[in-house]
Amino acid sequence: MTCRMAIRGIGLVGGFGSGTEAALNALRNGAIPNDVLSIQTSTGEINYPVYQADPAPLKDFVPSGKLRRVKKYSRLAALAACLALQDADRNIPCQCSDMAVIVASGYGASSTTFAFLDDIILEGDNFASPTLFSNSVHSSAASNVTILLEIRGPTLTVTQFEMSTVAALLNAQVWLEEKKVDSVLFGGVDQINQVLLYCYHGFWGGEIPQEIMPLHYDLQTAIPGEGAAFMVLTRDEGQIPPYGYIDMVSWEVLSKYTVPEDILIVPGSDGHRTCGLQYRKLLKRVVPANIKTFSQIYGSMPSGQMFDLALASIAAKNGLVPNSFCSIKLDAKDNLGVIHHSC
Amino acid sequence: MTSAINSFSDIQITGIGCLCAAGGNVPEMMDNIYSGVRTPVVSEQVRSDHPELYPMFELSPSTVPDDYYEGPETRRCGLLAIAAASEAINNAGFDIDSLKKYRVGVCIGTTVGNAMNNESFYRDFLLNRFPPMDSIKAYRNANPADMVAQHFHLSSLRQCIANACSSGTVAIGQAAEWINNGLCDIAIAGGADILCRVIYNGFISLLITDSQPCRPFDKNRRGLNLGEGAGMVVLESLQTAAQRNARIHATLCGYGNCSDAYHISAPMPDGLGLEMAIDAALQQAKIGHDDIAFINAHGTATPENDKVEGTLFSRIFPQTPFHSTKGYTGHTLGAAGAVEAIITVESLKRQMIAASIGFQDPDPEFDVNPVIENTPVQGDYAMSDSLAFGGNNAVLLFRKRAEA
Repeated sequence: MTCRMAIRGIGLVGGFGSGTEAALNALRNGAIPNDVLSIQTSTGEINYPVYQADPAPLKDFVPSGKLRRVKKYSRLAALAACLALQDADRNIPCQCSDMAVIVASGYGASSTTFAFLDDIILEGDNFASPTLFSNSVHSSAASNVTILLEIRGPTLTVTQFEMSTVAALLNAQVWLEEKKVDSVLFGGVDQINQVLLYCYHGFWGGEIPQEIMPLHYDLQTAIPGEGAAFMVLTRDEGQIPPYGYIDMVSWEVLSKYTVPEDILIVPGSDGHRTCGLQYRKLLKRVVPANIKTFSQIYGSMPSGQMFDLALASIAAKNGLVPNSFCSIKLDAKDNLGVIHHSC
Repeated sequence: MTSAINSFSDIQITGIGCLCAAGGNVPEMMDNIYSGVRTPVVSEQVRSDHPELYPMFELSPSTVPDDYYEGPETRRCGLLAIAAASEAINNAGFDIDSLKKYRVGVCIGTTVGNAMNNESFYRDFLLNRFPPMDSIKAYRNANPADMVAQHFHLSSLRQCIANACSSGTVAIGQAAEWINNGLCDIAIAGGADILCRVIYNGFISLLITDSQPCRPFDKNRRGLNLGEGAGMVVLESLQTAAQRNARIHATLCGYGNCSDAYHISAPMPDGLGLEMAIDAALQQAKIGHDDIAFINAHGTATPENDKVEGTLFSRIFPQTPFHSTKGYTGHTLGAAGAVEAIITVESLKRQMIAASIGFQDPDPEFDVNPVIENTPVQGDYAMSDSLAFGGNNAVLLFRKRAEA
């Protein structure tokens, strides 16, 4: 498939704040976990550092009344979508049908599902909330984006854990190639919840990391992150795009893939030791100067590759990294998502 | 949608597989549907403390795959997907070895299959009983697309589509687009979903379930009955199918996907999003409304869904026979679009659509009614449509295989 996608606008919300200025500030000055959450474990209460995102600025784009029943998972996506549209000089609301909405998520609306279960478990089945139920489906973020922004084009939600971004991006490329739509509002979103922290403790108990060290591949330093990163993508037509192009997207298998050595590599390593060891093997021939990570800015999350793509594109636009880069995300089953970018 | 004519090419359906309450495989399901058999039950597996009992279309114990009830619940959806995919792959004339010659994509729609909604784990967590990580490990290994790929030793592109109740339809449409764009040679696509308490309680909370067997498009309809199952198709280009001399069931010639942009759980009353999806699919197939021989409607039997479809069909398909088959299968959520795509393909081959079971009294709010007995149809094209939470509408168009 040959469709080169132009990046017309980027919107982000994460632990570093929201918008491209906040992202640029984090790229220049670094970012650290911005909050601490407590969880109960069998050995007592523990505090876990997190990268928590605040969707409050969404009210600058959407009347509060329309957000009353919209949960945080969807609010994060909607805020990043609005910021991307604003950055691309598009109308908000869009009121269009020539734009698609595609959302990639690793864990989907799990937090809302747990809130739904809270009522059932603590109060009984008769107290199940219809609002929580209808917002607990994975597609609720994409749906709320279409509703709040009045987008009547095709919609898609893809959940494939760490491969979500690349899998979803292939669909965006197909839709632009086929001229099904003229632009795609494409994003990734994930949300922290107490269960996730409990799982971090359950799987990787012991010393709690205080910072992600993505290049210390043999250490478990992952810190949960949440947020959303969106882009406005079009075909390579018309004006030169401010953030360059996505030249190639591919699903690869670790054993058959060779990393390009002549380009900046943006690995999705985010402090998880199991994947870290695979990254180390994969990147052994790449000189360290050609490797740049971003997970220390946004945290660890399955849709992190979307943050890598967005942050690296902003960094390239501002001369912080070379114009061309290759984002690589590994999953636990030895699959790789590969995205080539150029300006 | 863009005004440009998009470049969708026909894709061949060379294998079909299905299991649901109406049958453990495609022939059995079609026999039962044409015979008017339906078996909603009050589930022994999925119980609740609601005073009213709502029947569901549950898989019979003789239908489910081996070890279905013994393993973790989170894997069940994937096991159903594997079972349906096995039938479809065999039906297409493939086996694990012969598939290896091709780049095979896997695209599966689901609502439950990729959700972390394990109630027993969460109950223990919430009540500070500190559950072990086994359920989470099982969840991480239970992605239905991964399970199918792993089972058939496939390493190409795969993904789970989570578009709520249109997921199965969208998964088939997306997989067709992958082939069209060279992302894979062959695709295994469809949907899978299981019954569970989260879904059961959720739909009851929305007040859209019927305590009687469902009555799609009937004036007195009260809501849906949930169901479970999986439907899978094998898709390939005409060139690939011709090279291996494959039998072709039908051609997928149009796929539309549009949003209502209206409400998180209610369809847009005027059906604009659905109409746009239908128009997009017709445009791809280069045919008009009059070319459609019959419609397999979403027809959930909820007051709002059937009103939207009934009103829209009255306007744009006033003479086209249609039916809902959810009276036989229940609403299998993420699997529904795929199960119904298979029923549509089989009905197109046989030129006969089954009675829309449950329908008795016409609804005065729209001018069309589903067929009430098995009805011969004549024509080359058929449509299956799906509506979903959040206003996602998806449509597939099929063309009858040309006679040799």
